[in-house]
Amino acid sequence: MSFTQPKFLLFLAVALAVYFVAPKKVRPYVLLAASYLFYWFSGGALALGAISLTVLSVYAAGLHAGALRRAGAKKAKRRAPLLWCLLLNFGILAALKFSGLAFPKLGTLLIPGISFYTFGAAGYLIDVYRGKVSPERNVLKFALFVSFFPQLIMGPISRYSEVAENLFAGHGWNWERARRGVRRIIWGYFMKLAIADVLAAPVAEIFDNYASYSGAVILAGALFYTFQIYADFAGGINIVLGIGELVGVSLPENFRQPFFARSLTDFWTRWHMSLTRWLRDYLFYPLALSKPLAKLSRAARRVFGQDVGKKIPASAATFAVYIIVGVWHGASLAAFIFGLLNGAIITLSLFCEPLLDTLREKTGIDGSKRGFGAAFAMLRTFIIMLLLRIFARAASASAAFSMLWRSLTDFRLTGLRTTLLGLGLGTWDYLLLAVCIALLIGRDILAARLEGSGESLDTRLNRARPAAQFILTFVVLAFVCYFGLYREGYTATEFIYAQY
Amino acid sequence: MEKLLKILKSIHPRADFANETALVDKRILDSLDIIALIGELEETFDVEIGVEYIEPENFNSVDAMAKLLKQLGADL
Repeated sequence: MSFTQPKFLLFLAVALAVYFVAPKKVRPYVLLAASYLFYWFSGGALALGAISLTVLSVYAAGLHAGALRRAGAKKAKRRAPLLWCLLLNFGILAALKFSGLAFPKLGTLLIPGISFYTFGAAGYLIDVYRGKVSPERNVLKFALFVSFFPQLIMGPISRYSEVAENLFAGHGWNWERARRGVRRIIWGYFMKLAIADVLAAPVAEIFDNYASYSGAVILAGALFYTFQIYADFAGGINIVLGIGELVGVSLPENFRQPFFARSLTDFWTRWHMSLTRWLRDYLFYPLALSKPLAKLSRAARRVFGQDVGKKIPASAATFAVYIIVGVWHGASLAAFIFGLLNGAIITLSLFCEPLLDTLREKTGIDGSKRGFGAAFAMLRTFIIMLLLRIFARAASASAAFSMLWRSLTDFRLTGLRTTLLGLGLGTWDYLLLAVCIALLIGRDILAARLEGSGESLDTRLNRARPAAQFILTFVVLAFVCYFGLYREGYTATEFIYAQY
Repeated sequence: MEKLLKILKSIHPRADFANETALVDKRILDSLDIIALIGELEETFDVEIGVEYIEPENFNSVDAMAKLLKQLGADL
């Protein structure tokens, strides 16, 4: 069941009604029932079976890990059950992703959101192992944590410690929270319906038939895809967080104005934040600080010198992280290359730091300072990610290489306008799209300005002139209604990230 | 403290380590910096900083880091 289907809105209305009417203590169980029902509609018995397997195995492993820890068992003894449980759950996930190679797109769509809930449950288990979290004794409450329906299909990946209290508190109706939540939900639908779904058709046309298009069109397609994927994923996340807000659960942010990133490393602290946070805490740090890599580092220092040698653990761990980020998007060569290239560029800049520092000094262009340096760094990062993203969307690795090659060698601007108007969108559509994207970018600019000021975007908007607030609300609602209800020949598409 | 500040300055020459109390929260120190920092600290102070100590609270300020090091047996 997708957020953009009318039946989801019906489901949500009923679920919320039951939730708020129910007594406080019962509310978490209403959420659990709603989550399982939602998942039944999304993936049927197979999906329910899969998630229940994860819930039960991780629940049991968590209790076991907690008991072992209290008994003062040695690390080796405590590690074994942890590893078996992780192997089981990640094994299922990997098997499903790789089956997607044989049956494209079928694999993980069978069990939508499996990547998200598997990572979420695994994070909990590792936290229990580390002693950061005491194991949840109530299996139903644990099931709610794993399957909480807003975040089930596309994340964010929450930490147990950050959501448990609110999730099980059974918060009642609160007008202020409800207002914030609804505002967020509407904005999410705006992004998804007015931008992402409008761009879906032209992007598909260009990526599926790249051979018949010039390099300029291909680059335009990559640009369209950049906005499509952002509006789709971040829009969906806004809906998720908004729903969470309605029931008093603050889910973690997943996006932080990604187009303002000054480097690839910076980008990944702004895009799909809950995933990169997870990988940092559960893969990057343990790997970079591990004994084997420390040994490698000492050997490398002997061979290549101090400066290079000491960077080996961080770069090896970086590669591991970004390869996972890539393969998250599908066990295909193109996805793997996407991750690999991200890892390679970041590692390269790590090793070239002295050189880059000299360059910054000589040219005066420094990304960490304000003004021209910052703008340059942001544009550079935007372009690099735009090109890399071709690997994330192209039909295959060879297609991606061809598309990149064509953009460089066959960059014909003639006929660009005619071609773009022949992709299913007319002048009027592009105009509306431009307005919507401008609104999106404007919102991000405002949010970026507010960062560090302590004021939230929500509060800032409430401070604006009433007339401005009214116009903004009206325009956004109008777009949602137009694209959601009235546009002819228009079907809202499935969220892109539901397949992971 | 001197040694600690020197190490920090070598990682980020321009950051205000003496006064800043949100080094991690404000993303002044990113994950690559933390790894580099831990490597240097472990060598200089002859301690072992395990993954479980990588919390924002332990690295948000010079004082927090000094506290962590003392806790791990370092001679500051």
